[in-house]
Amino acid sequence: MTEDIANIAPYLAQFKHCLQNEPPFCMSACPLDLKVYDFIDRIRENRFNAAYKQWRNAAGFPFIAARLCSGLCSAACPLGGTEAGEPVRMNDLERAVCHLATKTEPTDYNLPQKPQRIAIIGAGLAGMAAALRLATKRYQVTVYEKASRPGGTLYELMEENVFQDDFALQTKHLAITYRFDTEITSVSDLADDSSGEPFDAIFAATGRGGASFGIDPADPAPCRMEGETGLFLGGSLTAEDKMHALGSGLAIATAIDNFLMTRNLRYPVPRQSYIQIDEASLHTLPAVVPTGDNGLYTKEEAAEEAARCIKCQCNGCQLHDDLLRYLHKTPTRLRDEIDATCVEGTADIKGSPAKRSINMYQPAGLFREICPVQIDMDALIQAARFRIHKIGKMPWAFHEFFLKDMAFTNSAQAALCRKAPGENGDAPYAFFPGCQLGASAPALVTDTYRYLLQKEPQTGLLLHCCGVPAKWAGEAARWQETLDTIRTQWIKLGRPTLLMACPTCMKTFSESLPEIPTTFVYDFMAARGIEKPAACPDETMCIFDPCATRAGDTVRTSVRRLCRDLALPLEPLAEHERHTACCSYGGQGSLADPNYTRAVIRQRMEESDHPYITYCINCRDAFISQGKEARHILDLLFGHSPGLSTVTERRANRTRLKEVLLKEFWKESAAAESGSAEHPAIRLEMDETVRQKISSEHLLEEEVAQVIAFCERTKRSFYDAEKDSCCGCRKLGHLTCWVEYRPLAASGSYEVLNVYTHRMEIQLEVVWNGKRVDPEVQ
Amino acid sequence: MAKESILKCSKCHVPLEEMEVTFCYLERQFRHKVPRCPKCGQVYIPEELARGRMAEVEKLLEDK
Repeated sequence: MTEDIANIAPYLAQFKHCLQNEPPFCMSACPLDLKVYDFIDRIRENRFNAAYKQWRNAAGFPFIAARLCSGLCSAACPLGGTEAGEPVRMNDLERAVCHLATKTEPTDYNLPQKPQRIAIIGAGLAGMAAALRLATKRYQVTVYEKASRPGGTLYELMEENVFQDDFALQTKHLAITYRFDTEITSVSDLADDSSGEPFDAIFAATGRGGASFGIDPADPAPCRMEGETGLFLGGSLTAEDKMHALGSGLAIATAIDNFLMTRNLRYPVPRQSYIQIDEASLHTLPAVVPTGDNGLYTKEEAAEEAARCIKCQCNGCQLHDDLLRYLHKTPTRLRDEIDATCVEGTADIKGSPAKRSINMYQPAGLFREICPVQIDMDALIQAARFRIHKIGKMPWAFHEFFLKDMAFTNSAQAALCRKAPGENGDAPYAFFPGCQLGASAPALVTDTYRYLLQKEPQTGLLLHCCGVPAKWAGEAARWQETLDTIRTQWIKLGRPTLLMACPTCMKTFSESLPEIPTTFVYDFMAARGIEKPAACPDETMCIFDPCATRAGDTVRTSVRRLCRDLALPLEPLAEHERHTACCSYGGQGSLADPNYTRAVIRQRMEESDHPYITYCINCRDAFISQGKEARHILDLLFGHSPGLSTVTERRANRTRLKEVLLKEFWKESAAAESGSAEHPAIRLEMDETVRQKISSEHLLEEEVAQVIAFCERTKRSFYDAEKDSCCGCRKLGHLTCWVEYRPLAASGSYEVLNVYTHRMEIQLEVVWNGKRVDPEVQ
Repeated sequence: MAKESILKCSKCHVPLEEMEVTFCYLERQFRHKVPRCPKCGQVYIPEELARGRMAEVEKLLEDK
């Protein structure tokens, strides 16, 4: 089991289908395979010679191609797909580039002659293009043409000087042998007439309806071996129009080059674009109309038109996934970093580049939803967390606090598993509030349970953590252990349907405990109805759906119905409802990067100025922590005002919740149930700033008291005479906690002045100045 | 050093001195000079150091 869940390979394999580097629509549509991004960039930067060079490299004969281009790329441009939008006028840009470039001379490369001989049958546009490309690579090219001049059907399409000038210009440095007035009817005995040697490759571009030498032009790969010679058909013989014929000639030249190097007979296949672009990328800026000479663009107009290009690429994940956006990373880059991080062993130079990002990621289900090929990034990250924990690479600091918190929630001091008061039979329902609701707002647990007992008196109660902190920490064994405990307790309750308050618990149960029937407590409330509280706000609010729910989930409808019953004016968060992202809590990445967590919360907050209603207590607390007004739906239903508790208060809330529940519903005292004794902690006094600082350091006040007690007992501290205060430290788990404090003689308590922590461990020497150091200190 | 110079070890009642200490984090060890009691060897880490350079090194090691 552990082996399987820590295996990232199947998720990495999904990236084979990633469309990140797929060509855009225009490039796929272009018969010449023009790299439109670069072409556009060069025009935008006013680098017309560079743009011309690129156009020439793609088209072979740039002036002919600019005349023939039918704008297939513009037809595919998504800017033309919107009602008011206009596609980028690529053909006008091509023509402008030919006109505006000042350096149009071809480069004369000093390359050695290659020994291979190539015959090209037909000196039309495709034949000439292939001859050009192959001769540039210094193959020995012979062109056979039945007419007495090159050009083929170009005579019917444009003035002779246009194409003859272009032919002459582009081939001026090349050695191409022409055999005009020579019709080839058979390729089997075709040989180089100067040496008598057979050709290594033959390209038959005999024009529409021309000789095809026994190959069916309709064949998707019209090529074959003719003895030792590779024979390819192309040009107008196989292509639908002149531009495709030109593209075919150029592509087959490349295929012949490959064939001569590898002996693999591979016919070029046109590429298709499968990318999906986000509608938000589209604009409706009108196309620039050319006003220059001969209806051509001026430099400024060309640059302006090029600037309209949105450079389509499959970037939904980079636009919508918080982590990719925050880190400015592409999905494949993140994949590579995760892959490197999951390798056993460490290297001093960036051996594990994704350790932090793996722990920052929020498994909101959004990545897979956005991705056109449904790459499951959540599953990859989760497997990576299991993996790096397994190979000892998980930094303890990222999850230690949450694991300690989980352990306390599941301890006898806070956990509870009871059938309904006075009931011994199997419970049809049991309330599972989750671990955070009782810590943040214990009254909501009590009020909800009271409500449930009114509606279903046999409803049991299960206070426990769903185990997701252990899963997120990559601790597979601890996670399984928690799931097993929950399963046992559910059986003990009589296999009830669990009424869930936390969407993350719900997601965990449906994925990992599918045998346990569950329903949201909000669905139950919407169906059974609830009395309207005395105080209910009447301002407009937005429902912020938690990321563990997706569009179409019943609970979304139920929560909206409950709000409607309260007559709350609602305004939709349309974008969030469609692409539901995390509030920041998911995956518990706040210790891995607190700045990222804050940035995510702020981004979610800015989606609307109205206060939010959530049905996940972590969403509510995340928003309140950054000053956004937010209510849990249960706050509204039971008329409570939300507040934010410190880490210490949250722990006390859990203990008190158990006491209150046992007392109110079962008439018992908690001490009997938990057997817990009061710890002998010293008394502390502090102002609110220090109290908040202790909480922000993820410390309990009880732990601060432990540090002071230790310092006082061992005299391991430093005295500041100026401030009349002491300062000392103690290790709490892995963390070292420093406390500045002042004993208050009058009350016998201690005033806490400051608290700070570090993750690094101080290693004291065993012997110092000839004396053994007190082992307690270490 | 302004603050450290006025601090005294509660046990030995002597001022602190800058001395080398071994630190360990995520299975990596290194030495650095910080204020210590020269007599009993106990170490003082001021808040500026914990939040500044020390936190930076912690982050570097977590990313390795």
